[in-house]
Amino acid sequence: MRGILVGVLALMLAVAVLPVGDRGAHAADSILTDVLHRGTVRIAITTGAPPTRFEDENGTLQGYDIDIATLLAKQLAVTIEYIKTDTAGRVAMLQTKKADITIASFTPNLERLKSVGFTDPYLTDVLTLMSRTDRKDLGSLADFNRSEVKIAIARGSTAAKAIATYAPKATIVEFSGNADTIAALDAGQVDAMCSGAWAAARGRPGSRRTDRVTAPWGSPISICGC
Amino acid sequence: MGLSDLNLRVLIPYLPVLGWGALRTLEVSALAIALSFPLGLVGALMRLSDNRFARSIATVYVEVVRNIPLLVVLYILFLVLPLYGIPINALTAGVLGLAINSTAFTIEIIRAGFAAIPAGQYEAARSLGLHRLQMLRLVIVPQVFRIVLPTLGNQIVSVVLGSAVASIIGVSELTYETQSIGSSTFRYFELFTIAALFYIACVQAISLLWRLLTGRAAHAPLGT
Repeated sequence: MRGILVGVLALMLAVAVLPVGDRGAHAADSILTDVLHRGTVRIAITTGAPPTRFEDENGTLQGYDIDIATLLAKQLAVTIEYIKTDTAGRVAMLQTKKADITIASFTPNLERLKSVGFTDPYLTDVLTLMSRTDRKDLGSLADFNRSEVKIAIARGSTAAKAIATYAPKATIVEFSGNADTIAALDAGQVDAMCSGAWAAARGRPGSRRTDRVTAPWGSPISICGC
Repeated sequence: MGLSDLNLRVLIPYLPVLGWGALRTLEVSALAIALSFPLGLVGALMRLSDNRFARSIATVYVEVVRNIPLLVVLYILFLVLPLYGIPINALTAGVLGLAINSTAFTIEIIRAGFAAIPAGQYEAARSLGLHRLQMLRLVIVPQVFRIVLPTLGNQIVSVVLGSAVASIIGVSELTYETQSIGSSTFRYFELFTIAALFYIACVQAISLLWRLLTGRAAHAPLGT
């Protein structure tokens, strides 16, 4: 197995609940009250990231995050209305009150805490860098730290910060989600992609030439806690 | 969060990035227009030609391309072509995709312009002994341009605005930069407001350039 990449940051998958912003605890009360009154909780999610959240052949949402959402709704005794969005759209959905909460790989960090509130993390993941097996020139982290190396990330993910820290010279290309970053990697439009290891390491039926192998990169670092 | 929280000042550090994005938008749009307008003229002439082969090629092109969303064209260029060994970078794919799309509409615009020229103009040109190319160059095309200019102006606007779609394949134009900054600052309200202003400026800039380039043609005399 030709190792390509790489684990970095401990990435906490968290449920972001309730925009706090300038209103704090009051907002928390009112959103919960709203949800209970309405009898429906509106949950912003991203899809296309098995095994945590994806649509099966019938278009039904499946995965670990979806299970958490189902359990949450069951305990609140409300129904769920899913709002599909992209990685960057999650906070915007909360800010514009189109969604009550979001459940999707979502690392709590200080920047985001200024706009939204997080629950305790329920899953820990690491970031990985991944490239195609035919790119034998990309092995160690230093190989990626060149301006001609393009790394695809999902816009709004914490991968941008990790790359800025660990491979600052690399060129970041943003896409709307990991389905696109994988497709871009497959097509050879980028040299690597950076995402959570769960999303990266899953087997991909229909994958053409990318036999992706990940290897640890740096030491896992917890960048946040809630 | 609402209008009362609108705080444009937080975005001042990002203005240069948005400016570069706007320049990239201008670049992509200008290239796509520069490609699609001449191709549109050629395509329109093919659609109107007596040669059945040329006519069907142009007709099929228009009917196929006009019915595919720009987004899908971009994905095909950017993600599918490389799988078949055709390397194409994001910027090229963006420009080509816009040009392919815009050419289809331009063909129809220019064809409509030709259709608006009275038959008497052709007859008059022929009776003066002009051969076919001379007739087109000296008599018909200048009048066609006069007729289609306002509609081509609309097409320019739609190319500039359509270039926003290229953000999806990673062309770092205005919408790409806007979303990118938004994903780290979460100041979407302010950002999209500023992006809208930048787009107005971009469209105005390209339209002005277009008017300067076509100033004389716009006042060509029209025959009846």
